[in-house]
Amino acid sequence: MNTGNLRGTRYWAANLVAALIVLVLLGLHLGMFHLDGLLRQITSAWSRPMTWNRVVERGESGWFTASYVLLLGMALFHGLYGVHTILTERWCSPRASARIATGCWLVGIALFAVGTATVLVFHFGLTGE
Amino acid sequence: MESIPSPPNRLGLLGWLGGGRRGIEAYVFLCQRVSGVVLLLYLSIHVFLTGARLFGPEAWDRLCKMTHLFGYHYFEYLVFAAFAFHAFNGIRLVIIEFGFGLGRPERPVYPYRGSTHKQRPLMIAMMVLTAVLIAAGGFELVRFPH
Amino acid sequence: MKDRETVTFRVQRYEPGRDAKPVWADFPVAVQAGMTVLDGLLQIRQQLDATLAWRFSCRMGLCGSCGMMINGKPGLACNTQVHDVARKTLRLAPLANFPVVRDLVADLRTMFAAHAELKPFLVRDDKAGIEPGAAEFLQSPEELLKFLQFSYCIKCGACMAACPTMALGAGFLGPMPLTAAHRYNADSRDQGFALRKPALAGPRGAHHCHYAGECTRVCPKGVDPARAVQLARRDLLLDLLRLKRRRPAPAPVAEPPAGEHKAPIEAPPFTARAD
Repeated sequence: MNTGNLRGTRYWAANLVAALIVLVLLGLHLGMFHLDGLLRQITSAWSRPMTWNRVVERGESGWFTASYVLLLGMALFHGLYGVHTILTERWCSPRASARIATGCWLVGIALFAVGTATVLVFHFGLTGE
Repeated sequence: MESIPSPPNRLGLLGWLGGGRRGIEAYVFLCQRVSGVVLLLYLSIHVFLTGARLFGPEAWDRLCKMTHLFGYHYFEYLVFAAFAFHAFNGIRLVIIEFGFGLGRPERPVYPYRGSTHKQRPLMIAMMVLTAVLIAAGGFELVRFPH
Repeated sequence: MKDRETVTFRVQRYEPGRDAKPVWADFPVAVQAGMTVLDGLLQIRQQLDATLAWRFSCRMGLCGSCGMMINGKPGLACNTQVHDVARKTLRLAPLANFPVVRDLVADLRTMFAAHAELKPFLVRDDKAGIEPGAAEFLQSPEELLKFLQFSYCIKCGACMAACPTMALGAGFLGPMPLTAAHRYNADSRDQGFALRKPALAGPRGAHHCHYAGECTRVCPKGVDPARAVQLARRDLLLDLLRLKRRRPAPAPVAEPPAGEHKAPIEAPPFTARAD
């Protein structure tokens, strides 16, 4: 009897893992950028995150660079998995499903490429500044 | 048997609303979908906008000023709220996914109290946490504007 | 409260192939306390319009034939009292998310096709174990409780009409078939999980349930399909992680003594009632 795992469950499990990673990384990211005023009340060492110096600091940090790339990848996977789910609930023929999946992958790869290129170019100082 | 030339009679997107007749979980499901789509759209915009840092400090500062001009930071607050909701409700869904908080299958005795009732305290707890985070973000927006 | 009140039954009339689109028809129905929606429909048929079509059989919430949208919510006409849902106007429409045969009759074949796809019957590795009359299986009350709730399903289709995922399109097998699949997966006598898995985890499978809970809210038998589908999803995840316990099927209780093998009980021949 077939006891192998099927693609649907594998994708769903990957989606859950991605969600967990996004939860942690995006939680930290949004906390840092949207609750910075409150954080400054706790620690005076917390300076404004949107100033150019802070942007450069983060861009040069390997940890930040890696976390940005990971967050972008996981967020795109989680988000586009959701969009794929919604669209295949509406259009579910094998042909339509294949097109939707291809579309989601293309959009995901394109956005991931743009975002990752930005982060890496900035990190390695290739901006020509 | 001959096929029936009838439309599938689906309720469509408006069916998600159910004319206000649906249970609380159905509206939470709807908000989860809407917040998810909003977050993905924002991420797409965000990837391009933050690319401005490649063009130096002036371009970055210009972008920061411009976003305030169009009230973009208010939109960003909504995105923050969407994240808070999507994250906490998502935690609830994953907990339920693993079979926790649903109660065990039981002999149905009228009036029926299904798993939706059993998991409601969890849902309320998550919604309270969401409200706290959204309130913190709102306080930040008013008290410490960027 | 007055003994009899008139409630307007606003019924969706539609005959595909003849009518361009559904229209609403109003019928004044004299309603008294305790009267069900089904009673009202029977009154319409007897006194006002004999052409109104709907489906019913048992009149007591057992057969699942009279599922329909009652004031926008799926339910059984026979176990919904008019005064519980309406004082002046009651809107009746065929179950949503299904094609319409005529008036209030929905075509449930899509649901039964999905049901069949999920193999809603006991599957055993030992074929002899399920031969009729071959043996009995031991099952503890705890094991029974794992699936009993889900076995109360009467296939009325109310959950399918309430499901927001199904409102969008045909990309979901639906709460009823998935509940039936879990009913058997959770049965200690069954070994069919691997057989059901392709449909359960397939492109139209359990991953499209987002726990909106509407199926559970409208189920007239307290079956709780939302719980069943979540438990099915847990099984799939545990199976993926190789954490799902493989259940050895219980052995038959006792082989019948030689020479006393009972033949399967045959149903008596059907005879139409003389009256």
